[in-house]
Amino acid sequence: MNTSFRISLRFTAALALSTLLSTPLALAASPIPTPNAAARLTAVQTKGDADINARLTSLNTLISKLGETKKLTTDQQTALTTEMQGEVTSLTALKTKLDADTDLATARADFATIFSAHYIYAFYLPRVERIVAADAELDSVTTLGTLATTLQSYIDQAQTAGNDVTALQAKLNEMKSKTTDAETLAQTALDSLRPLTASGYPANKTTIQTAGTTLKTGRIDLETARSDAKSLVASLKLLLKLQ
Amino acid sequence: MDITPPPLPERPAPTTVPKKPTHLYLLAGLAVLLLLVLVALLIPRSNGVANSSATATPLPTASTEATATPTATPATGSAAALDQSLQSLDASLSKVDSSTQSANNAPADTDTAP
Repeated sequence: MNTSFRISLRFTAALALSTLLSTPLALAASPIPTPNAAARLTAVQTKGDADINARLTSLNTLISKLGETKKLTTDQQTALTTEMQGEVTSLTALKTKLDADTDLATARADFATIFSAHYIYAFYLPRVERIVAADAELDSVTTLGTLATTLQSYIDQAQTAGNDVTALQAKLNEMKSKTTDAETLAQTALDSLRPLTASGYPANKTTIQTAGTTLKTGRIDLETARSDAKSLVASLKLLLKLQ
Repeated sequence: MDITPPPLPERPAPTTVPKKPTHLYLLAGLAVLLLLVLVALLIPRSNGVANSSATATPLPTASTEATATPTATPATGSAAALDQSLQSLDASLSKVDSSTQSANNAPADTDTAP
């Protein structure tokens, strides 16, 4: 009796211990998240939604800026806008999927694709902002060209009136020269940025950076041209008593 | 003896010096002057008639006046037009700076899952 009782007791204890040890494993394998996993899933979804929304805002800003460009052709503008809109659609679908995820592992995998499959901040934003900058530089070139023509006519007029226009002409020549340099640089940057694709990232990162340097040099040329233009306008206003 | 004196040579008819018609010269001069004045007055009119009989010359439009070579006195508004060009330039350059800054300050694109 005693022996049988002991065996029974040992069996019950072993069973209890086995149950205690196996319960967490069973819970972990279950599709129903534990309170901790559920909280982590919600955190991933919340952070994912915020990151996706921030990128959607950036993409919509880029689309808006592309709509205001003046030197891109309609085809170029449309191609770039379509690219951006494709990313908007893709990220919106990702957000819907992430919000519907029920397990942490899937949610984390989806979260990771916000960065690894889209490159909004790494590729699109630097590339498209520089395209917009190149367009604005080319627009500045056009304004400076028109201004140079007007200033040349006033310089000619001042010369006809018997004034020494040597210094004015030299300044205008510099303005024209810097404008031409800026135009070449902006066009080079634009031509290098437009054909790039997200699938080529990060190999094309260097091209984006080089275009940035090229545009910076063009901006310096435009600043010199602008300074010359302002100086010429002030001088000619006085000389010809322009009203 | 015929002593009749020979006939006296016929005295030439006294030559009459014509009086100078000064009033005629004066009249002729006035007529020439009048003619010149008339011609001077008629020349521009005849040109106008000739032009009007041909294709009418269009009146100068605003655009043709605008492209004319600037005269000694620049038109009013020249300074304002120059200022406006400079403002357009500043606006374009401001766009360049804004986009360049956005491109350079793009946030990091790395996985920051909680």
